[in-house]
Amino acid sequence: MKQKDHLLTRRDFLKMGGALSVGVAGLGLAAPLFGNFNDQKLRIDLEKFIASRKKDFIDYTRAKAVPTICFGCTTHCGIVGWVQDGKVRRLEGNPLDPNSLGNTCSKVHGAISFTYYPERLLYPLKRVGKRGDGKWKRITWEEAIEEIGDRLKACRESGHPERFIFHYGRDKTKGFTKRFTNAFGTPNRLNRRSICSSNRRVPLMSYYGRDFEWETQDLENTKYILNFGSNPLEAYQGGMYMMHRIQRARVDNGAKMVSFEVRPSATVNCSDEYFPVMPGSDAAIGFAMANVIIDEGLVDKAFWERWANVSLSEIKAHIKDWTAEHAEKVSGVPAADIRRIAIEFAQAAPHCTTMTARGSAKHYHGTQGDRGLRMLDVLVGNVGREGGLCLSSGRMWGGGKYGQDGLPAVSQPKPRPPKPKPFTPGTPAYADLPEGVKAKVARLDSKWRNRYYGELATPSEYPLSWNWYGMKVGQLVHPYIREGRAKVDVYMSYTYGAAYGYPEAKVCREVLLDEKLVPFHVAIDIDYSEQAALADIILPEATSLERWDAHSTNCYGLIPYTGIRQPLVEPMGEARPIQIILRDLARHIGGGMEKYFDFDKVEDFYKEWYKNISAQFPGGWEEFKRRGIWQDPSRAKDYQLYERPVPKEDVVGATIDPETRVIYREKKGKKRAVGIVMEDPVTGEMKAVRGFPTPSRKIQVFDPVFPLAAQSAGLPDGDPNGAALPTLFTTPGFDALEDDDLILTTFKWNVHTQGRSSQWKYHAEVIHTNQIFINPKTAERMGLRNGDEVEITVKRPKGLTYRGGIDEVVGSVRNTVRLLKGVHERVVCFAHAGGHWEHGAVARAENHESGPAAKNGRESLLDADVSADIWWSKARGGTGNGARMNDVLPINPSPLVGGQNWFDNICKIRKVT
Amino acid sequence: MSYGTALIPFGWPIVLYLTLAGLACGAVLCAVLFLYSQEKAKDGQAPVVFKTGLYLAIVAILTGALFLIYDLGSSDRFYLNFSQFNPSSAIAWGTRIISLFVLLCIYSLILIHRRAESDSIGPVLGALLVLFALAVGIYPAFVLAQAVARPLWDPLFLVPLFLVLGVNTGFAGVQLLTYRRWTDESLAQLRNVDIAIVFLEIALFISMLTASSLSPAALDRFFKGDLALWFWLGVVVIGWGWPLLVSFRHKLSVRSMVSAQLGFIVGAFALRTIIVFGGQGPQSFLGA
Amino acid sequence: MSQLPSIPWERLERRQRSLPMKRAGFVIDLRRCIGCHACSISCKTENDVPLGGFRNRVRYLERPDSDRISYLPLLCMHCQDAPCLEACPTSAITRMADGRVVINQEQCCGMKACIAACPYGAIYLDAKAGKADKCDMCTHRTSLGLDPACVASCPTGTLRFGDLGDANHPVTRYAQEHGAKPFKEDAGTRPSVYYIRHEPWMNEAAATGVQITPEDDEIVYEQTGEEL
Repeated sequence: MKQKDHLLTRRDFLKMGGALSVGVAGLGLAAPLFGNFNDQKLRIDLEKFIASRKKDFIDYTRAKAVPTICFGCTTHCGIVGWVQDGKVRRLEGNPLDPNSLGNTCSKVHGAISFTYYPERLLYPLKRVGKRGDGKWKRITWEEAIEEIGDRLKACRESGHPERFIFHYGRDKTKGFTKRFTNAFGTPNRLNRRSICSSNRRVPLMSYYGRDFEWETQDLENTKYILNFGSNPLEAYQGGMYMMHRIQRARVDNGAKMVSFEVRPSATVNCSDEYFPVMPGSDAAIGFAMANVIIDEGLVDKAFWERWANVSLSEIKAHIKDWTAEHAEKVSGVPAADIRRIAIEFAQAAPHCTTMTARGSAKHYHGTQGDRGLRMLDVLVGNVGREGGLCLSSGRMWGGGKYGQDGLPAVSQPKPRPPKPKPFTPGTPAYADLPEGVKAKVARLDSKWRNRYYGELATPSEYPLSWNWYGMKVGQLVHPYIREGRAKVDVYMSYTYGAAYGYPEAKVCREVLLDEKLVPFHVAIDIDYSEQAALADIILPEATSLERWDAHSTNCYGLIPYTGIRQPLVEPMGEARPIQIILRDLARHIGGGMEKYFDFDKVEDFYKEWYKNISAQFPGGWEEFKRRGIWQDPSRAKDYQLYERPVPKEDVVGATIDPETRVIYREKKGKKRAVGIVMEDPVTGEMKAVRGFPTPSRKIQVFDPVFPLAAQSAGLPDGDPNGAALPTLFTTPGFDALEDDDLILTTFKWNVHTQGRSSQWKYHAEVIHTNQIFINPKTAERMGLRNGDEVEITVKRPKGLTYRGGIDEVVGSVRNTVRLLKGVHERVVCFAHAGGHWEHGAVARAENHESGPAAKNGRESLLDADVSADIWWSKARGGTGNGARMNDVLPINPSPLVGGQNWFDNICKIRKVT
Repeated sequence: MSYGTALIPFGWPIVLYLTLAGLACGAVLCAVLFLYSQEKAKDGQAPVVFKTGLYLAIVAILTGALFLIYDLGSSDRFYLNFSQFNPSSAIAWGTRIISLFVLLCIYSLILIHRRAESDSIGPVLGALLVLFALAVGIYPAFVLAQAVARPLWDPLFLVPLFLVLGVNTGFAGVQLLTYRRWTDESLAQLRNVDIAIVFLEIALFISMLTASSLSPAALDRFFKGDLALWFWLGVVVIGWGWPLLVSFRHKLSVRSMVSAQLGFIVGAFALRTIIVFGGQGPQSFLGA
Repeated sequence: MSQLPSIPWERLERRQRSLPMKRAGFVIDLRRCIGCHACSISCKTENDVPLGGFRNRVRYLERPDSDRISYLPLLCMHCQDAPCLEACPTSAITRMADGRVVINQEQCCGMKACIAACPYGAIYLDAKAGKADKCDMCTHRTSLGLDPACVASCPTGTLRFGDLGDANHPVTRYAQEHGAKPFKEDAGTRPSVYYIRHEPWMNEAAATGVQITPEDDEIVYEQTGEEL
């Protein structure tokens, strides 16, 4: 109060004093000073003020708005872009998008930064020096298509189309690129799903038969969110739709959120309770909670008995040792809290849900661990219920099999190319396999052996990576090529950052630099990435604001919808959309490929693709484009799809297995489960319902695919990775940590996305460096203070999976430390997206340009803003662009599934003096 | 001091301007004082001191204005200060005050040169000179004080402190330019004035610090932080200590008094440095 | 299928500009903020703000009472008794009919008196233009009835824009229901930005870095807490 009085006096005094000083000057103009000038209004006219702003300012009275789909991350929110004078000036959420409801994060705005990035690739380039030397010349598209097309044609005609590798980082064409690879005949359309989410998808697919894109928590109606290492308020890509729903649930509906995490993430910061946990201990907490729920009699018995494929007593006996006390020991969360939270969670059922993601899953034992966490939802019976964990796919809607009947079919235009042939004995592709690999293939169960497509697309030691669909194991592609498990003629990288962002990225770089292993490397990219730097030819691609794409995903509003990405502006320079690039290549290769690419304008292709959606609008295709989104809001929400009746057309001619009551239907000579006969809980009548799209049409808490896979992959008997029931075990090495061992975990900032956003100037301005976060207590023990430089040395992990070497350590990296309360004492948090050495001035944090764009025919590449104002550059006394972490993280696929164990890195840190 | 314009909008050009404006104020006050107080002496000194003071004031204030223009980043916007007027802004008034001040000084100089025989400029002009000199000395305090978010800059203390600093440096400046004419008598007078000024400055500075609601971290900046060298060496040793030491010596020499006056100017610059920079920065922002 | 919803973005062409509000202002609900920077980055894109300058910024503050971080979006408070407006020597800073405080770039001479005068550090110097700039409530949007860019981009309803001079305006009612208050009220400037669940300790933490300056790498975004 003292201060307040004083300051008020001071402002009064000021006004008087001003008068006094003028009075002293004897000008006699004191009088007006006693008036309150602050109340004087309208000293500037509205139009005059608008006119005083910069000349090319966006003027909403003449800018044109076009709806499209964001590509800032893989979530893909509906957005609206404002175009003025041929330039996109503004992006904001599309309120018609039932997923985002117009609520989008900062990454939306990155599209403007990178579309108009001064160092964007605008012309096809061909290397002139050695591969990787960074010397380029500009070539025409005709030259580029001819050279690449000739190579591909030779590869295809050699009888080994599988030697063409198409490896993508971001492909959201919803199958357009697959059309190309299928037409070509190669199964090697490789991805990065193992880097991202495969450990997390397998439990979903095992339990519910599909990953449904993701599980879809009914956040609008939930009252209790149990978060195991998931971060939807910041960086859960695919889940950005959840952020506004979670905040509304919390603030408006009084929902409670409890988080188990290793650092104060945005989700943690908005949680009602936060427990820092030892990395990888989420599952222990989950099993303990399952025990509590069973012991306290809080199980939804009716649901469990109806839908789980294993008895409660069997589960109870299986998990009884993994108690709250045990969980306290491994995780550090007090047993009493675990009990209390488990009870709170169960009592909120069905308005409660778990939320898991990379935090719980990306561990050696993560798949089994997440299967344990999945059990919580089944125990309390919230699956598919209001406020619970729902399943509502949007994957282009072959959805009838799990109850989403009656949606307009959306599928690629015909003719559609056939799938490539499996590598069965007698085929040239099989003959090409090394003997060692053939032995591994022979060990596979016939279920997999007959669907085997080589070690890159279907790695034999990781059958669960391709059991449900081809998730593949991206981080093994380069070491496998090096080992000779697969041969390569042409390697095509499509907006792909493995050379920077993969674990042990140096392996990828070594392989790509080796012209014997990879004779020809084409990179399709938007700007000069680390991957493109290792190419023979670079093709410039259109950005998301310049191209077409199909979009559909699970809807958190629980009513399926679809959207369309459409170009707002023409591509800059000579950049071309992927559809045109692949079409022209297909035409050049010929041999029948061209017939699958029979379109002139890309729009025509998508118009055909979406003809059934267009038919929903009175205005047809144009009306769909005008809105950007289609949804039928009158549809019932996707609650309890499993209880929906099997439609008559599926029942006709169906057979019922008398023992399991599963309904099978034959189609094209293949027997497929379409439903299950269940007793109506009210009337007692037997009814044919959809059930879950699993083999048993029930929730497969017990899943025989795990022991089968373990056997096929040659894991020893009894290895817990192959347990049919969800099983708790520890990452090898975590049970014998030395006192000064820390766990290196990675994370993504909310303004960045998959290592491809560091060149967005406004985002890089917010986060451009990635100093490591450690707990102040840890720092105190080690004598570290804020800003100290440390060396982080990562140990090579142990366990029954691919190991890049027998050496003790993977490597070391230096970085500075930042102390932060809330980080677990055993944890080092090291953000992804730092330390780029390509991607131009903004990503490199330099005040000058770099890379081939510098000699690309334009005079001045960097606008003054970018070049002079990168204030975080070292030259201007800033921190620079951070440290390069990925080279020291081991390639560490989890057994059977192959998901990268990002959070299993045991490391030591040492102060650099 | 590396926080950029948002937290440190006022930098070195402002410190230099403030020092020079103070010097101009003091120089004119000194000049007028000599003109009237020494009239009876008829030793012919007064017009010389008067002219020196006025020339010094004009040079100082115009040099200061150049620093201000430099601080704008571009001279082509400087005219806005004349074409636009915001009556509630101390700077807006200041622009007019220094303009008239310079004109008055020039007019007085012309007058005194024309009337070569006389050494009077008349009572009205003398009074105007004093008034405007005071205004030039005081208004910068209000410029800083208008930054209400900077607790250090309280006009209650800034006004007298800036005035004293101005008188101090202005007198010192004029003395330095005329030291050849110093007599033993004037040296003794000077000593008494010097001692008074130093104690006045110390008292004002201490009360400013104690009365302000600065955080301990902000206060630390003065005594052991980034401003400590300026404070201990610039202000305490050179600005206060040395002149005091000189003044208390029995025998006053011209040389030592010259060094004392130099010390005053350096000290005033140092004091303004720590006031300007100490008033800004994260620790010294409102609420810290 | 039922009747199609109207298309919200197709309603601006040839619309007349006006500022109908009595007292335009923001309400910022800190319970909802997730620190995503959508407001600040969207603002920079919309207004072409140079690197190093911020009209809107999100501060990350380490909580003194727990091991978590709180988020604090900050922008110009459009004070009803604005010190910047008083300090500007060239009358470049003025108030509009709905009370918003704006800088007329054509009249700014670059003296920086406003920057010094602002208790909230909300004004930055556009180094290239040599002029001061700050939030103007996106006049080019709001005069057409659109929300300011930051509000339109906020994914969680943290930022709200409305007529605080109208007791019945939903934003005013929301502010009253949840006890929204301006912060640093001691400065006596009567801001037009109200915060819900602004805690006293945030005054101190925010004092130092309402807007962060480029040279000050010590307190970029991820830096929170004691150095402030």
